[in-house]
Amino acid sequence: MFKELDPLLHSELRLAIVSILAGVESADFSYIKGITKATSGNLSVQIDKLEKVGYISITKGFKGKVPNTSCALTETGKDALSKYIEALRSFLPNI
Amino acid sequence: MEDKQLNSTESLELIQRMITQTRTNMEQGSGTIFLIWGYTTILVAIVTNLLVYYTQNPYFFWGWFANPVIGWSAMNLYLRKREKPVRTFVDRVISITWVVIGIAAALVPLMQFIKSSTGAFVIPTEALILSIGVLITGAVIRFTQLIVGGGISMILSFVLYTTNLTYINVTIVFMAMFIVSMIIPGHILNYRGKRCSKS
Repeated sequence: MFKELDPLLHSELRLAIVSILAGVESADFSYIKGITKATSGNLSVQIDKLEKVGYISITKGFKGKVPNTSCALTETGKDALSKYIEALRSFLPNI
Repeated sequence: MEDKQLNSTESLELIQRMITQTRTNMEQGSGTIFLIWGYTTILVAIVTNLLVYYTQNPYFFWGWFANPVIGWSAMNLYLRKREKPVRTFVDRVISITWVVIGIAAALVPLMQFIKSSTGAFVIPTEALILSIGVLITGAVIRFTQLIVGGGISMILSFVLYTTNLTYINVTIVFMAMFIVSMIIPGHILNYRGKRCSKS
């Protein structure tokens, strides 16, 4: 039986953000932007959506004199990614 | 990258690709800290020994305290300049390990002055403490050269405890330990980081 895919994670950019954060404690906005090659505006919108549902947490600060935004995956986000991968497996039983 | 919907296969491929790319980016430049400590220690060892040897003045043994001063300053300068846009659990473990190792390594020479002992225990103990740090780091980042280098250093530090070598020979062994456990693995780590960033 197919499990339902989380619509919030079933988008290329949001899934990429969550996947990057899954392997680290936190990552800067510029780092995520570099890997995903998304525009700043689009990335901001998607990060905002993920923060609103509690999948990621955002810390704003400064690195030297430059403003810096750091993102981290929350426990809710980790659970959501884990369930998402489990649901994907139900669609692809051979893996 | 756009905000488009993916099929199941594409989703799994994307997750795998993002995790792999993040891991590759994290490896860049991680050997520099070992190089800073390795070269600083060897430089301080050579200068201190030459001063003691040529002047026959034991007060120049205080020169060893230049090691933490130069090492910590250079490391702080490097860490401030280095862009570290991603932090991992491994970073935290290594950072805590080296803070503890650093405190222990700084306190050991002080014991020599507090107890007014001959100081024969200082170099083997310093070597043992630093070898433990290298070994733990190697095990955490799964880097064989660090594990081997740390292991060899640990054995050599026990050799230093049990043999009656002259001060100069002890220092030569101490320097060899830093070449094996920090300088060689440090260069290999940086080379691997550069190669990964090119590919």
